[in-house]
Order: sequence, then structure tokens, then C-alpha cells
Amino acid sequence: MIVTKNINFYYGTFQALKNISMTMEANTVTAFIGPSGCGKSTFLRLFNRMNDLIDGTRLEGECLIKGKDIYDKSINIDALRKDIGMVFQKPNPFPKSVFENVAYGLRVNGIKDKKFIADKVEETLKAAALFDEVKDKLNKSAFELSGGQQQRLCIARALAVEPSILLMDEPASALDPISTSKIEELIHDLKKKYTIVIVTHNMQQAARVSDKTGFFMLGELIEYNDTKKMFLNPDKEITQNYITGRFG
Amino acid sequence: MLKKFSNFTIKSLLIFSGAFAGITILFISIFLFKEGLGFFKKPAVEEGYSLFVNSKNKVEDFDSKKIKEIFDHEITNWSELGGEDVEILLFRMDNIFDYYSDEELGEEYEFLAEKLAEVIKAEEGIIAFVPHQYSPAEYSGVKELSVPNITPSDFFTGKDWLPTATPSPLFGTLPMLLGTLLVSLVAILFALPLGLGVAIYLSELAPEGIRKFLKPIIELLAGIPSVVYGFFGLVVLAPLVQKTFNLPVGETALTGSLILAIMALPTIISIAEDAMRNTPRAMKEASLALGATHWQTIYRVIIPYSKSGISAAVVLGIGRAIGETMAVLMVTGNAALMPTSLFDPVRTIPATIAAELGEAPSGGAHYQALFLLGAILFIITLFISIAAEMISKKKNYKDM
Amino acid sequence: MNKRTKQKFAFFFFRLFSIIIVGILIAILGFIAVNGLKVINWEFLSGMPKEGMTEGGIFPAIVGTCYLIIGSLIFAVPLGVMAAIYTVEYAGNGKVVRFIRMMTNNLASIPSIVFGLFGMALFVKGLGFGDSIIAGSLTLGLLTLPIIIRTSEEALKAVPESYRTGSYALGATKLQTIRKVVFPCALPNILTGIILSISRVSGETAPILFTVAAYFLPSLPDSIFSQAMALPYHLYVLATSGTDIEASRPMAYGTALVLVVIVLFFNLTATLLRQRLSKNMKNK
Ligand SMILES: Nc1ncnc2c1ncn2[C@@H]1O[C@H](COP(=O)(O)OP(=O)(O)OP(=O)(O)O)[C@@H](O)[C@H]1O
Ligand SMILES: [Mg+2]
Repeated sequence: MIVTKNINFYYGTFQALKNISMTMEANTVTAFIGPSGCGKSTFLRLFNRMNDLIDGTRLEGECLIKGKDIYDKSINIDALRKDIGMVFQKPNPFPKSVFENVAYGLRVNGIKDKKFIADKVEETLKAAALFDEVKDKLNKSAFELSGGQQQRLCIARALAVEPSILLMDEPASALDPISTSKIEELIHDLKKKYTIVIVTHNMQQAARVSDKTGFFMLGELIEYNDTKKMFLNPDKEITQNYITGRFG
Repeated sequence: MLKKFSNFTIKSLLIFSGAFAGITILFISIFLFKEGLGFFKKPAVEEGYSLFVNSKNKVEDFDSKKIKEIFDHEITNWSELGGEDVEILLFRMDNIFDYYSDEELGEEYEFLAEKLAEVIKAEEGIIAFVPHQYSPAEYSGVKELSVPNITPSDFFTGKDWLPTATPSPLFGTLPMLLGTLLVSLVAILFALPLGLGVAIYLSELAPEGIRKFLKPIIELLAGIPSVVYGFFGLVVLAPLVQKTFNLPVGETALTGSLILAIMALPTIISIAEDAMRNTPRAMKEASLALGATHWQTIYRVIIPYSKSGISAAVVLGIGRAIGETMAVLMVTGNAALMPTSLFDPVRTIPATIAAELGEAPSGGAHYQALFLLGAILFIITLFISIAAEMISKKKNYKDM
Repeated sequence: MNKRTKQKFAFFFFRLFSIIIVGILIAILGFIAVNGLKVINWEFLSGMPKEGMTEGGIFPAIVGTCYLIIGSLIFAVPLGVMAAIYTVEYAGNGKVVRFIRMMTNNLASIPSIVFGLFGMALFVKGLGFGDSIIAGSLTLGLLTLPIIIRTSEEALKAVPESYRTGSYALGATKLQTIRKVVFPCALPNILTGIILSISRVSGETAPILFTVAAYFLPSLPDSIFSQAMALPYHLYVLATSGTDIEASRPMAYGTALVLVVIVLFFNLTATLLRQRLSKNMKNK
């Protein structure tokens, strides 16, 4: 589904990613772990070309999604981003109503049919396990929801445009344990339909939700393996050290 | 000892300066109102003069407007004012010589009052405009007219501004109030799309190099003195407007609005740009990540998010336009008439003050009327500035 | 229309608008420069107006404007800087400061003609200065007070707190700290505010209409109680009410150019200085 070949990425003169090649399968959950500043977010944001927004960045190497080079000139960025949903570290709903937040992606993609939008909003809120909690608050501002609800709203928002890939950058790091476990359950359900890549600092979380795990350090991909193997018997000692917390 | 003393002095100076800065504005308002409010105590007839009629005259209901029309020969018969069917006879001081010779009035005009009384008694239709020192009020057959003071409603809703008319000047400010609003609002109508467009360009589209170049340009635009704008408007814009729309004169409300639009642009641009740059990156990214184009993101997320900042920009832009004096004075033609179209000359409050204060005798009704206009202007702009501050402080998460 | 096309369309307009803005500035400045340069020579700058102001120079107006700049600064700079020191260093962050700040903000929003009215009522009539340089300077000083206070406040706030604590640690009193450490460090930034004020003072017409400005004076002012000519007012007179408006047009162009050059020179200097200073701050 997602294939990267020899990726090097630079912020100005600073090289944030070094020669990363990796393959992520469809309908799996892949977790990225690694110490802060190692380039996980940078790598994740390559897949929907979010890094394009930052001035002075440069990319070398190839990134193929569904077999197409997404950095090719002919690529329609909006269509690409529609197909690849993203959930951010901090919940970032728009300052609009709950309903409008979910409907946003539909509207910007040219859908005007009110009935369709209403149905879709309900459907995705249900898929994000949020509908029962907010069904009376659809027209209230999204800021009135709790942090955990906001994050699930952001997931619903991403799902509404029917992406095939879902990128999640530490989606639960700002949340309490209960909200976190709800999100983890959700990820588990979503796996059937979506290809998910998730960045996390929480080892248990990575172990619980992912099928494969990639360990990054200082811009390099140190080890990429089945999650089970990674946590029980990693190939590299340094991975072992990081996972067991014997590492600065 | 000495050191202690100097420390104390310096500290007091600092406190004084702080206090001074705080109260200057109160001071200004006190002075404006002190001069301005005296206006409503002024008699409607020119100070130092009175109007007299024959005592048989039944007409009671006078105001400045009627008096003006009488003396302008627009009302020529007392019946028009509800009195007898008698022709109105206007009488000013020099008319006395039609009735009496110099000698008859006495060497020092000591018999003048008496003779005036005789004339007034004899002429049933007379209305006489006489200075106090020759007042014939004590003689029989003469009635002094009591004209009510100018009321605030005359001042704010009167349609005629004739501050130098005798015997009864008119101080209706409605044409100026409307003129000011018209010129300023149309200016904002021009400036808003242009200013917002440039603000969007600066905050979202411009590469750093162009931004660095464009920002000082906009500050320069803000720095050009208003008299220079006025001059430019007068020699370039006014003829252009005249030719384009085929008008008798180029100095019109439209010309004023165009110049004001240019002058309000820097305010609008810089405040709106600041507001848009303050939109959290996360909002923008969330929108783009859903497949919205940059433009969709701008008008669906960034503009709504910076709504309060943009409104503040508009409000301050209007404030700037309302208070602007010299440029407007030079290009709007300054006719104190009710504005009927954009292509007519108009006159604004600040322009009126600037044009007339020099000629208004200090302390007179005209002078005070101008101060009152100043006080009104002061209140309007103060209100606008406070409103802008409140708007820009307001977080507008809820109401979108 | 598809959303990409819409975007292209919208962005085209924003680019166009930005070009228009630059165009407007170039049109105004270019127009004045082209016409003004034709008349500007040494005689124009150093001579008295002649022939009902249709010939000669604008020397008295330049001199008058200089007097007004100096006069207003003498008044506004100490007062404004001290007020800023008071609010930043002494008054803390309480109600008093918020009140002063609100008042100075509002002061900045008052139209200049209102300052003119006030100056006339208080300085010209109330204090009996008559139309005079001192009355005009005080009026203009009030007008620039908010600029000076605001920039000085920002300058003082930008001085790192560690400088102050460092000075206190050496046993200096608060006043000594302000005088020896904080103020010198804030001075360059305060200077930008002063330069900006100069630019403002030299361009303002409305406040001097009734407080100082003379239509025409045959000689230079000899005391602070005499009237003076000033560049902006001179331009206004030449443009609208000279003895022969057509004949004095060239003089008006020249005056406008001199005025614009003075005002924008100070304006630009302040802008550049501020940019430079904020860059230095960051590098520290
Ligand atoms: N916009 C940027 N400009 C310059 N450097 C950046 C930028 N964003 C990130 N970096 C640098 O790139 C490196 C990788 O950053 P990235 O955000 O990808 O790390 P991360 O692994 O996601 O860290 P964390 O776990 O803290 O989120 C860091 O050293 C960071 O300083
Ligand atoms: Mg990260």
C-alpha cells in the first residue's frame, strides 16, 4: 500500500530523515516508535504531503502509494489528501458545530446533497463511536466536547471523506486513560476497512494496536518488524533497550 | 539627603507623567464639551439683537427656520404663519433713514429707540431686527419676539447649515452627519475587498521576499500625510472622476470615498493580516488534510477564525475614514447639502470644522456649534476605538 | 467550476490587488516626484515666497516645520518616556496601568482635527498663547504622545528581566537600575518611536490649522509666541486658496515633494531601524 524507497528529508540544511525504505501493507496497523525528535512525524507527514507547507524543505527518494509516486508532478494534492486521512496529536476541531466539523470534508469536496451529508455525518460519528454521546449536541460548538470526544470527532471528520489510509500522529497523547482505550478500540475496528499508520510514545499502545512496528532514531529506521517479534525478541539490542526503557 | 530628594523628585515626575497620559483624553473631552454645550444656551437670533413686531401681531410660534425664510422673502405674508392677512415688512437698522433724517434721531442717536417704536407702531406688518442698545421694548405698541433657543433636535435633524445667516443663523447638522457616513462607508466598501485580498496574499500566499518588500510599502502608504493625499486627489483623481462620469465638477462624495479608501487600506491590511496569521497552524493543516484546497481553507477556516480581527480592522478603517480631515476637505467639494448621490459634492464633520473654525468669532454660536461637532466626532471615534478593542478581544469560537 | 479553478481565480485577484496597492503608491509618489522635481532647486528650498506665492521658495515653511518638530518633541518625549517608565517599571500590571494603556490607545484614535480644536481652546485661547509656535507644538506634542508612550513601553518591556535582576544583585537601587541598565538598553527602540513622531508631526495639517499656521509671513518667526508657516499647511494653501491657484501649482508640487520626502524619510528610517533592532534582539 505505502512503499518508500531511500527517503532523505531536509529542513533547510538539517537532515531529518536518513535513507528510509519501508513497506506498509493494506489493512494493517503500523506503529512508529522512537525518541522525541527522531523524525516520526516528519515521516508520517510525507505520506499526505503535509511537509509541502513548510518552507525550505527538500525530499529525496521515492514514496509510492497504491503504486503511484505521490510526489510526481501530475498528482492532484487535494485528491491525494482526501484519500489519506490524518489525525493530529492535539485534537484540532474547527471552530464550528459538531455536525459541520464532520460535514466539512464532504463540503470541500463538492458534495451539496443535504440528505447525503446528514446520513454520512451520522454514519461516521457512529463509526467513530461518538454518535451516542453527541447526538443531542450536533449543533453545539465542537469546543464544548471533552478532549477525548474532540479527538474522536477529528477521527470521524477524517473518516467522512472515505479515505483508504489513516495517518495518526500520537492521537491519544493528550487524552486520559479511558478516552485512550476508546480510541484504541476504535483503531482495532477501523483496521478492517483502512490502512492505519500510527505514531506513538506509548509502548503498550503500540503493542496492543499494531501489527507491525518501526523503530526510529535520529532520523534513521533502526528496525522494522512484526510487532510481536519486536516486543518479545527484537533483532537489535538498541531496540530492546528502547522498548524496555533502559534508554535515555 | 540630596540623593533622597532627587530620587523623590524623579519618582514624582514619573508618576505625574503616567497620570498625565491617563487623563489627557478626559481633559480633551472636558474642553470640547465645555465649549460645545454652551451652544444650546445661545438664543436663536444673532447675539446682541432682538426682533420686534407690532403689538397687534398675533403670530407667536417662531423658530430660526421661519425667521430665516421671512428675511429671505420666502414667507411674505403673516397669514402664512397663522396671523392676519398682512404683507410682511422687513426692517433692518438702516431702513430707519427711510422714515427719519439724521437730525431727528439726535446727535448720539439718543432718540433712535423712540423713533423705532413709532415706526413699529405705525406699520402693522413690520418685523424689525434691532441691536439691544436701541431696543424699543419699553414703548407701547411694540412687541419683542421670543424665539426659543436652538434645541438638540434642531441641531441633529435640521437640514440647513447656514451658520452666518442674519438675523437667525441655522445650525442643522444632518447633511454633515449623513455626508460623513456616506463618504466613510463607501470608502470602506472599496477598501474592504482590496484590503482583505492583500491581507490574504500577505499572510498566505506571498513568498518571504515579496512579503518583506510589500510590508514597508504598506507602511509608506500609511505614512503619506493626508494633505498630500488631498492634493493628489484634487489634481489627479477629481478631474479623472469628472471626466469618467461626465460630471459638472470632480469634487464629489465619490472622489472623497476613493481617497479615503486608499488611506484606510493600510489599517485594514495590517490588522487583518495579523489576525489571519494568528490562525493556528493546526486548523489549517486539518482542513488541508481533508482534501480542501488552499483557497477553501482560507475562506472556510482562516477567515472565519480571524473574523473578530477582520471586523476590528473594518471598524478601525471606518474610524480612520470618519476622522480624516484634510484630504476630505480638499476633494469633496464641501457643499453643506443633504447628500443625494455619490456624484454630488458633500461635506463631512471634520471638513466643516477645518473650513469654518478660522472664521467663526470666538465664543459665538457658530464657534460653539463647531466645537459641538468636534465633540460629536470625538465621541464617535472613541466609541469606534472601544468597539474595535472589544471585538478583537472577543474569542469567536462559539458563534460560527 | 472545479475547486482548483476557483482557487486559481481567487488567487489571481489577490495577486492583482497586491500589485494595485504597489501601483497606487508608485502613482502617488511618482506623480509628485515627477512634477515636484521640476521646481526644486536651491532657490526653492532657501528662498522666501514671492509674487503672491506663485514664485520664490518655501524656506519659511521648512523652518516652521522644523520648529514644530523640535517644539513638540521637547514636550512629548520626556513626558511620554517617563509615562512609559512609570507604567512598565513601577505600576506593575494592575488597574492603573490598564487604565493608562486604554486611555493612550484611545488617545491615538482621536482624529487630528479634534486635537486642533482642543489646542485652540486650551493653548490659543485658554492660556492666551495666541496662534503661536508654542501652541502648535503643544498640540502636536499631545498628538504624538501615544506613539512615544507605546514604543517606549515596548522598548522597556523588551529589556530582558535578567538585566534587571543582575543589577539588583549588585546592590543597585531600582532607580539606578533603570538609569544605568534598563534605559540605555531600551534607548534605540525608544528612538524609533521618536523618529516616527517626527514623521507624524511634519505631516499633520489639521492640528496646526488654528494653533500656529500662517497663510503667509514676510519674515521668519522670531519667538515661540509668533505664528509660523509650516509645510503641510503651506501645501494646503497653495493647492486650494492661493492668490492664483493655477500659477502656484508648480510651487504646490515642489512643496508636496519636499513634504513627502521629509515625512517618508523619517518613516522609513524608523521602520528600518526597528527591523534591524528586532533582528539584533533575536540574534542575542
Ligand atoms: N518545521 C520544522 N523546521 C525545522 N526543523 C524541524 C521542523 N519540524 C521538525 N523539525 C526537526 O526535525 C526533527 C524531527 O522532527 P519530528 O517532528 O519529525 O520528530 P518526532 O519524532 O515526531 O518527535 P516527537 O515525538 O517529539 O513528536 C527534529 O529534530 C525537529 O527539530
Ligand atoms: Mg511528532
